[in-house]
Amino acid sequence: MRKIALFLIVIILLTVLGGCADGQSGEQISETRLLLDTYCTITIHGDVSKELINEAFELLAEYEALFSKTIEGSDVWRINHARGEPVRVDIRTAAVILAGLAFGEFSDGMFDITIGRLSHLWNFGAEAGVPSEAEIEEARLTVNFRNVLIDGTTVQLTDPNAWIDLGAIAKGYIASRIAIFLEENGVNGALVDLGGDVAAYGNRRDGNPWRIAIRKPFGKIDDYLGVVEISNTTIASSGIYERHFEKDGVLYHHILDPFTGMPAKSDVTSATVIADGAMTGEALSTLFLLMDRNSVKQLIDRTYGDIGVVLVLENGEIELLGDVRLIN
Amino acid sequence: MKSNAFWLILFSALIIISAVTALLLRQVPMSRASIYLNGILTETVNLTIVEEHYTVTIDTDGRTNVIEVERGRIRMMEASCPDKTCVRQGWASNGLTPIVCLPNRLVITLESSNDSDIDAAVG
Repeated sequence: MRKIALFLIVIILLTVLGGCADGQSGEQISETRLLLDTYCTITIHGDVSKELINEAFELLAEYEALFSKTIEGSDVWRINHARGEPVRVDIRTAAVILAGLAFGEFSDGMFDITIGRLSHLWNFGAEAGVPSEAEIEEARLTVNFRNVLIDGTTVQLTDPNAWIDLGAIAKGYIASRIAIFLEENGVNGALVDLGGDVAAYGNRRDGNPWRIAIRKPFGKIDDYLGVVEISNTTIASSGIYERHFEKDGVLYHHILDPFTGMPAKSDVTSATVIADGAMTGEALSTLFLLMDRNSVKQLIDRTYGDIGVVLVLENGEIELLGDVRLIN
Repeated sequence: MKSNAFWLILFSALIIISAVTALLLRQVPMSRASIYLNGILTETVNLTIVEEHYTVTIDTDGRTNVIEVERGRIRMMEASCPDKTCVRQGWASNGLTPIVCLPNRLVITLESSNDSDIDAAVG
């Protein structure tokens, strides 16, 4: 009797102690750094060293050094300052530019990576105010993705005044590449969040898909519409409430219409896209803010692959399109 | 007979102890905020034990941010940046999204025991 009792006590003690310890396998590490002009959080779990997150951030910095339009000497900077001359770039830059041009074709120019001069003009708008019509027109005339010639890793802007700005697809590409890097280095699961452009590899530590909350437009930091569950895919969001300023009662936001040179007018307030393609989610989420809801539906039908879309309309209505489930 | 009673009491005691411990651990919400300026940790605040609300002012090279702290939550009350996105974000009570004032290079991150349900936020 005593032996059985002793045995049972040991079991109970182990259970109590075990309950206090972490029941899941592999340690989960998360780190946030300010890079790419936003906050970037990398989360990994598995039998890996903390050093891996450091390496992932180093890879991130490497991409920033290629794609940034403000870092002197970056691939994009060199193209923009080449006065129309051809420039040799890294193969990864070429890949992103090619994807950008493809989205340009797909959207009949609504999505345009040569939006650089226009986005630069409006960026100073927060401090200086609304740019003049003349300034807007001058910048708008340089926007035309068909002026980008690319041959292998040689890129040429045939309009010497035009500027390339990869801001609308670079983060999606980088997030995916980092997720792949982490996968190749043996993590069980990873979540790469670059200021709201997210790539997910595998699942959470508890085996369930990663849970991503979608914020309410114009809401407080903790206000969510709901949660989507993702695994081995990407999710990205764009909203008119992100970077914006108000002047004389008018809202000026950062999603610029390349045809008018002004912030886009649409009945879509925010667009969240879940897509397997590295840059698809990010590019489409921007594009959907540039068109009205009906055009969005038509575009989704033309999109290759399964995507899921959550739209928040001007009137507060939430619309789910394609392959997506919003959990409350 | 006596020794059986002894073991019975011991078992019960152990079970009760583990149950109570589990319950207690679950109910204490913990949250801690870390304030980073230019990537360097400047201050940490244990939000769980805050009694009265107070403000923290960070002033560097003419860039000013005023942070307001209350029990369990924190926010950017004022900022000298032009767009005030950080101020508009309002109170943060979970660690999901840091409060970021990019122009002033100030970031407030939170660790909270009610963080675990969501892994990231978009939108």
